[in-house]
Amino acid sequence: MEHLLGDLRYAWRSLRNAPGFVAVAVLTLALGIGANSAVFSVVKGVLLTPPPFRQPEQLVLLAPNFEAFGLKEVSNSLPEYRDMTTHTKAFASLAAFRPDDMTLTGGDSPRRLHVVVATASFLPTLGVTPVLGRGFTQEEEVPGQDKVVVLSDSAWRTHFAKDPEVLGRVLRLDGVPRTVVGVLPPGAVYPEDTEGVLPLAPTPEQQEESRRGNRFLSVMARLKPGMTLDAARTDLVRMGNARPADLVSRYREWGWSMSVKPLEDQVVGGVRETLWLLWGAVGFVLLVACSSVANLLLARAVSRGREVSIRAALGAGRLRLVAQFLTESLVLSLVAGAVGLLLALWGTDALVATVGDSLPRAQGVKLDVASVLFTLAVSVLTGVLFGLVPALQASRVDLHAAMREGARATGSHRTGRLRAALVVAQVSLALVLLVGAGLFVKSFLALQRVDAGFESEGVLTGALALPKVQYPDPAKQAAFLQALLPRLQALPGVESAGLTNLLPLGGSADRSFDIDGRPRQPGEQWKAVEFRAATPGYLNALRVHLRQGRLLEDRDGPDAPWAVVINRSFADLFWPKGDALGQRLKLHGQDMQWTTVVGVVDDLREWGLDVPSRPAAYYSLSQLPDVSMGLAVRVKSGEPEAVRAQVEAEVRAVDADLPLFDVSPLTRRMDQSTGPRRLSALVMGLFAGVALLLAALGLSGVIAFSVSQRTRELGIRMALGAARGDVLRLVLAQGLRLSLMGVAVGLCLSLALARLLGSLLYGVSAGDPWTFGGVALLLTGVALAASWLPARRATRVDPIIALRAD
Amino acid sequence: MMTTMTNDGEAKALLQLDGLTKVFETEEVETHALSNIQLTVRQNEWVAIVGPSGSGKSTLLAVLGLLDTATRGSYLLDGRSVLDLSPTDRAKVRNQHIGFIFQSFNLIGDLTVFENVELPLTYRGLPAQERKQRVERALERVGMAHRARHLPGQLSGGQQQRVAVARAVAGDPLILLADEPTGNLDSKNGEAVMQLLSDLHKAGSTICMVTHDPAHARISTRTVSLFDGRVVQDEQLR
Repeated sequence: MEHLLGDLRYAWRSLRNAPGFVAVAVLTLALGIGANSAVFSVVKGVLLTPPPFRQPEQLVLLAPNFEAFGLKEVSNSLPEYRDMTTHTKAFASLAAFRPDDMTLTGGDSPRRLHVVVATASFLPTLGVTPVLGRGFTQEEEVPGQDKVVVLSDSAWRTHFAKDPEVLGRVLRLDGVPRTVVGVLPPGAVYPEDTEGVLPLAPTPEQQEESRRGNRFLSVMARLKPGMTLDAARTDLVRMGNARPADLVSRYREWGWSMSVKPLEDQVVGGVRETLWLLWGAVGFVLLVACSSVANLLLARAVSRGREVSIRAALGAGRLRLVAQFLTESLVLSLVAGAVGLLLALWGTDALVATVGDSLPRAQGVKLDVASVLFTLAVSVLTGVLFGLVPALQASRVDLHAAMREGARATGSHRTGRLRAALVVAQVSLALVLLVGAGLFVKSFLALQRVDAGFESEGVLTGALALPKVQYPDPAKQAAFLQALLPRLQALPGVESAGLTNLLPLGGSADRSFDIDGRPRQPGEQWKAVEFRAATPGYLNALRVHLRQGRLLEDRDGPDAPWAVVINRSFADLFWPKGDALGQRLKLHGQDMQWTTVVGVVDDLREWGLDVPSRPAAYYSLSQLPDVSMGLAVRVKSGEPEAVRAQVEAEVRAVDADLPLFDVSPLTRRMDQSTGPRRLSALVMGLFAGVALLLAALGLSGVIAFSVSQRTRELGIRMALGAARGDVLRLVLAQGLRLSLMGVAVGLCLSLALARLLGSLLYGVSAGDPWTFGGVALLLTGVALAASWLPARRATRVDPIIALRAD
Repeated sequence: MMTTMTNDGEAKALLQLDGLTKVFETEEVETHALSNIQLTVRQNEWVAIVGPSGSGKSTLLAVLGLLDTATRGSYLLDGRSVLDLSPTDRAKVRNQHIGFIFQSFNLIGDLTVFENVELPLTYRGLPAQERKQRVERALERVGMAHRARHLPGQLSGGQQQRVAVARAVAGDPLILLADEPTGNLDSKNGEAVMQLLSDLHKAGSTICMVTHDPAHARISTRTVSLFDGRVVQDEQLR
């Protein structure tokens, strides 16, 4: 203990006397540690913290696949949910639910609430108990008895200021009064943006066997203890085979199977790979930082050779010397950890602010005690990592030689080799990060060049959800369209305005269908078609490219024959000879009519720029109205946000209780689709830049140190006739040799690691030779530039030094 | 090596210093390291430059070897003025016309004996085959051919200095400049090196040697004594 305190005291004094060294080392390490802490906070918040559900690993989502229609993981119907509740044995409980948006009225202005309409078993299946009040009961699953709502913690805080008297309050949701009966714990709901849970109260008609095809429900289940996913799948197959024979035959014909997916995969599966990758990347940055500081320490150890010799001469054993040097490293790393924590505080906020929209559980991302402990652990580990080798190196003392040579270092060749090896490691790690960043940037740029099939600039989008109480039937819904659209179209500055059931990136609506005169052959698989319903102004607002026929027009009204515009993928699939116009198709489902193809448009990348276009059909919204709609308004010029207030006012003028929500330019929606890739490119680019800088500084430092060690040798060479150019080449060659070794090692590492990136890239292969070659050239160039300064200094060595004796 | 005679029967002048002055200036003090040096060294002379510490011996040798510049005066090397040359041209002259023998040998530790001797020839841009022949010949002359593959650290001080002599003569320079060539050697090895220089001189080499050892100075053909940067005595011994 006494030794430790002594070492600490000495370390503090020693470091205080080297402020330049301390500043560089602390800043370098703080960058590495801070980046690790920030990414750890995100990884912990998103991937490592279990959701506040009881035994969340037992929760699964059950969704049917229909191979014959190319439908995967679609919704369930009430009869199918009933099959599962009555004929499966693998699950402790099951719940059906449907996310929805409802309008909350009664306050200053109407607000949208994201709700889940669910069976009474929903909260027990999740394993969630309300912190206030209760959940709802089976008795409340009956129409008329279902006028209750359980609030999420976020809704309770946001809309009711955590009012403890909220129980019993009556809320008007979509015009229907509902009594608040409970409040959920923080974060304890699925989907995570849910603000209220309402009872699913299907009418007897909705539950009839004839509605088996009316699939609108998600199903969540809790596996029985010890039950595996495979066992659950087997149980569901058994359930399917236990259906009545005619159903078994039909389901077999449709290529039915059930997907059993852990709830956790559904929530975080989309970002898991990216986050692990980022963590790996910051790990590399930390390694580069450690190499860099280890190099500084090695140089410092050389200049402290005499001090070490004296200590050793006075009886300090090697362990004592190592302990003393390690204490210094630890003091450095702990100070760097503290600075890194501040950087992480800022970095975590910046990360969440930048990509929070596309990050699940973003609200759980914060720098907490675990993050601080992680930072502490990383700091200690870092201190040992970068301090051990220099400490071992510095403690090797040849006393006789050291005392004879005075302050000159012993073992400088070994130190030189170590420093060179560290630089090679730095260059190779930087190259790996640069290759990763290069691939992501190239991927992102490839995405930017994708033709979306429509023009997103100059379009304002928003969402509307008509309450079913006020708009119970298609006629009233169509009347709303007729009232709103002319008002929007008449706004000054608006070029065109329209509505659709789903805006780009608004989700998917797969529908199976039949083609007139072309019966499906037994065993033939038809892809499902993406169903869209739109007003004529919508396709105009998006400026879709018409290839054949016409777009939807006002004449395609409720009473006119049904018309549909299809995209090129659909047309090419079924009418490759270009004779799609005039063909008729009918979507499966109630109240569907044969509909004539009146136009063919280019494919629209509506599911993300990186998602290949699917066959899609654009019906007339007047003929197939919906209560949930997206609005698109194209302005004649300028920023689309400029007409926002006018558009909102027109919506209020038609229905004062109807909020326009999720209002944003279409470009922002499209940016969200490239968000994860932009994040990867940005963060990897940032980390790679830091690593490149550290590697360049490390290389420059090693060359400068080598030049200082070789001053006499360089002087001798110049005395023997070496011109400045010879010396310049000699020193540059040393830097080039080290960097080429680093590049070679880095390329091998990159080739091995790039395969992991494959699924995260778009339009570029993981082994893209241009990226690998470009990065290798860049690094070599930077290495040469980093060597240039010390090389120039080397040419100024005075050859007269050769005349001076030791 | 043939000695070139002038029309008046004297050997050709290789080094000619006229009024050579070297002044070190600091903010307040002006120190004359060399003052108005008049000196001519002819072909096949062996000149010992002697004098007490601080008399300017090493500074004179540095200026002669183009490792340092003079403040005033003129310096002709083989009839060519060399005081105003650019650093690159000075390096070229050093490489082609001057051979250095240092007190502390100044061999490069990472290079073998062969490579050390080869180094100035490399800078001269000679082809590999010619370099090899010259290095082997030079090492033979100093009796170190058998140690060609060794590193300097594996040799004794005397052996290292012999390698340094080989390096100095490998390029057939006009003149050898030796700075206390025995200063880091024991007496036995010192005598051996002096014998080597004597052999080289007999074979025709011109040598300028700084020494503080009167016995070694007496082996030379001429001694030039410096004091306070001035030539105070110039004595022809034989």
